[in-house]
Amino acid sequence: MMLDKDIAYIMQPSSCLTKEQLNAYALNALEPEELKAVEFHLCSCWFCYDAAHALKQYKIDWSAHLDLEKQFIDEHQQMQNQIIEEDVPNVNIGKQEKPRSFWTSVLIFILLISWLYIFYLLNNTYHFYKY
Amino acid sequence: MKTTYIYQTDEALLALFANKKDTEAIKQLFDRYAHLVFAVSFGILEEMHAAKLATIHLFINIMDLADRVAIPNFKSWLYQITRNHCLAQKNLVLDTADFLVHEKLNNTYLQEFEIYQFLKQNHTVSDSFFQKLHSSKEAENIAELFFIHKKSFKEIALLVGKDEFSVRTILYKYRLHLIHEAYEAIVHQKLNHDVR
Repeated sequence: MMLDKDIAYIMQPSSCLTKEQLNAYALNALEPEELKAVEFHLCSCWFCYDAAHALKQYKIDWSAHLDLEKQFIDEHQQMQNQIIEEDVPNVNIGKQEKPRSFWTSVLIFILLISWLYIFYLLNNTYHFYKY
Repeated sequence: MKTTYIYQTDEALLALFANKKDTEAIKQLFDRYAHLVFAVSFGILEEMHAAKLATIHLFINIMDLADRVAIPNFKSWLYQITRNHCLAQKNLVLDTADFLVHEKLNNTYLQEFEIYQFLKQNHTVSDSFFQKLHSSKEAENIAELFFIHKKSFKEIALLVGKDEFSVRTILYKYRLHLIHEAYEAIVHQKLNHDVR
């Protein structure tokens, strides 16, 4: 006959299996104490039981294949980049003005000075003829 | 990863992601369940690469659904969508019996939590409180061997002449039966208390 303390023990919540526990259980490599804890949890959790049962059928060490976190981060990054690309408005902003180079500025300056000089000379010549 | 996330419930982590777009929260959920999702997917799809892809896509879908769908019990919801996703990939459809099992699972998790809370708050529950609980003789024997005599599934399977899977299923059903009975007893006791 089970007492309430036994029933309280049966209903004790337990946490889901870790990667290592799941792998060791599938390979029958758990210590008796740990096996007890794992099986206790499997009695109450369909998710873990389904996972353990699936892996136990194949009996392969699959922990090396679990680089899922890296893949998840890569995929997530890729998805975010796609969203950013889609979000950038593709607006035609027309012909853009190129920044003026140093030598163009020098040339413009020389042209301006020479134009002013010619103007000055022409003005002086006019006065010369006048008198 | 922040240590405070380790102590958060699944639902709290999901709410953190939904409201604040906290990616650390979703990473913590990924850490807790990715291997289980992978293993369940592997069991259905029978292919390592397909199982990996299914796991990644499921978590990306969760990020998308987090702020749009109310999820009261993350673990059982995740189990359901994992199975549905993989079965759909294999062009298989969940039959109604499966749906009923999952409905029951959802309820059980919530009831279990309530019973646990009740037992924690009422330390002086008498032995007679649970005496009404009855089950089949075979299930009781197996439960006693497992929970009291601490035998493993394998040892019990050898003792009673069944396979490990059947032993586990009997234990699961026995526990489910206890939960339902205890839940009813607690509700009954609460009702009586309220009437008084």
